[in-house]
Amino acid sequence: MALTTPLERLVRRPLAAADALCNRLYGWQYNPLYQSGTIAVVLLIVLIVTGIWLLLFYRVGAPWESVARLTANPWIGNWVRGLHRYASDAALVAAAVHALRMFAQRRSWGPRALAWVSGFLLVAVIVVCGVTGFIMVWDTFGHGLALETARLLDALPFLSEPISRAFVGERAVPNTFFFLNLFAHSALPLAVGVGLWIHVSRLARPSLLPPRRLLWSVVGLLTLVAVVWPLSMAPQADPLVLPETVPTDWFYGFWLPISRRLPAWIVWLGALVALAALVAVPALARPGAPDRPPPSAVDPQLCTACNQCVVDCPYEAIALVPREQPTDRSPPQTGPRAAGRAELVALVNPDRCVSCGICAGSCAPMGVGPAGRTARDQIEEVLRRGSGPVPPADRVVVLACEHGVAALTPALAAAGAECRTMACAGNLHTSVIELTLRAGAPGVLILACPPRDCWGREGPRWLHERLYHDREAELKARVDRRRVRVACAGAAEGAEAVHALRAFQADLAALDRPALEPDESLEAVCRPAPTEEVEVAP
Amino acid sequence: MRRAPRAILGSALALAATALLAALSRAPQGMGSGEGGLLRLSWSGQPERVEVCRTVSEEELRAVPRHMRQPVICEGQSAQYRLRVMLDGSTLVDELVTGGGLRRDRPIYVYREFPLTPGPRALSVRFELADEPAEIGETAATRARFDALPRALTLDTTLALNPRAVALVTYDADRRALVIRSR
Repeated sequence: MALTTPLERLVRRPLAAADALCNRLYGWQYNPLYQSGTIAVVLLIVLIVTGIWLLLFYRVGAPWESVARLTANPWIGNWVRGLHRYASDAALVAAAVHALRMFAQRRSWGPRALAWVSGFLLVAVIVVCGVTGFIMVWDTFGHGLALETARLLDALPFLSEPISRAFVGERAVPNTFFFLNLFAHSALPLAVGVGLWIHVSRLARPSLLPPRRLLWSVVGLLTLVAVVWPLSMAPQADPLVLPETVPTDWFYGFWLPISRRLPAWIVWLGALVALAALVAVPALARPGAPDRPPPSAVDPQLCTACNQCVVDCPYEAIALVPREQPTDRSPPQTGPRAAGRAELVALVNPDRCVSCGICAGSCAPMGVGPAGRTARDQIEEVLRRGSGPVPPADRVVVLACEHGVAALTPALAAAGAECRTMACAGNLHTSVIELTLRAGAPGVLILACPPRDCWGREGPRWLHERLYHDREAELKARVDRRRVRVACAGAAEGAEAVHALRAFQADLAALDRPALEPDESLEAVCRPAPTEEVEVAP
Repeated sequence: MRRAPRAILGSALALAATALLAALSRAPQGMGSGEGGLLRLSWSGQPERVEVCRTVSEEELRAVPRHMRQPVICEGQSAQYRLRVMLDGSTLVDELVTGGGLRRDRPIYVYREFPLTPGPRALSVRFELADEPAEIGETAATRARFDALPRALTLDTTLALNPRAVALVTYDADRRALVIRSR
């Protein structure tokens, strides 16, 4: 068990409930919680587009006045400024939800540590960029941010004079400050771009944008609020007046009330401890050696270098490399495919493998996968079960993803299914389905996680392709597709899972039902057609 | 759930979340200062240079290469200043102020803030050279930078601070005196 496990469990339950609610309202395709990462990217794009527009109207020599002029213009300025502000707030919320999901699902350690750490650095850059944006306006909130940031910086030992003095009214704040601030606000998005590239650098086919309908819904909603509830200007910064209240953007200014009351060194200490704790999550969330899932391994005797596992791996952890040429001292090649072997062989990079097992489902000759979860292991498990007491013929076999609905197996068993768990829907080899049906199960229901919430990223997608679109390691044509079904359900969607099971059971029952009712005779239904003698021409 | 109620509920939830977002992006934050004001001291300047100089003898000069012969050698440091702030007769600050940097030769600065209740208050600020004149070298007066802070700055005034106002005491380089600014 990892050190963070209790905390993960604490977060996982409300998150699963929120997921279930959103799935019910929007469907899993448009669940904004599943798409939190891609929504954050969309919002960053919105920020860049609206920011470029706003930049045209900003004056370094008169910051507050230029923004006030813009805000007074309902056509070109106000709603764009509102959209810019709300998008920046929503980007932080989306990033926070995304991070929370990754934490709760323990998708932060091992090969994912780079994404975790770079994600937090990205958020830090976005926060700094946002703070510079609020300072640009130079209203009471911007002034408060500038003063407090300067106070904290002054506590560091490398400044010979406190920069706070620039904002206390001793002299007018120089234009160079606003120019530098503007430069930082414009240049930091470049750092965000680089950070994003690093963030997804270990992913194959990274999804950067949500489905179009969700994308435009998010942008539309923010625009609607920006138009209906336009932003107003806070009073101009005046260093010789202490404002009673300050209109605050709590997403970027949440720390101000705490920070103001504490000595600067305590604030720095708190920030460093928080940052260290966040960066240490990959180390803390890493399971102990006995519980750590092993990375995939390739059996070179079986590998045909078909490239399918390389293509299917969601983390680019597999590559084809030249096969070692046998030497005179090599042991004799005795595998079934020893003759005519490919010159290449797949090789798994264990530093990039998250042990999702998707490669095991992609390999027709069953030559790759994590130990204990290869296709051969899965088949052995089916055969082992087959040698035990045979399940009643009317029991559907449910294969449930252990990251999703596995906890709901008692409910499914109570509904008449025989439940088995698997590491990921993509880990499942199609031969297992065929074998299970041949062993006497009336049907196989695969309960996968919703595709955008897959622990292994692309498990449900590849499974669907292998079942219905002849992707390599496909379900053979001889298997009756009516007896196989894939359904998606999250960890808190027990009712949905049971509903899917009952629907499948009903469909299977209809399949097994004789075409006619038993008390109807064939003669009664099919009345004999009158016959006539027909002369046949010679 | 049927499709229409689901769409209505979904839209309502999305609108509520966005409205909450918009509300949190402008919610007022109380500054907690009440009616109280602030006395702020903020200025900086080049401290006077304190040096001890001596004339080098002919023998010493001959002992060094020609290009290193300096007739007068001065060693010194930036002066320290003493800041004293009295409010209604009681001392708020009494401390030595030195220049920044490892050699303490960077500009000297004062930046202090004190919460104040509104109303008339007697304020006295003294900022004076802390080194004794005897310690000042023979050439100190001639070598003092023309833009250095004066040896003594004083401000005695009665503050009439408005609620939530800041009284800023600063150094006016043109007048070479402490001045007070307030709303």
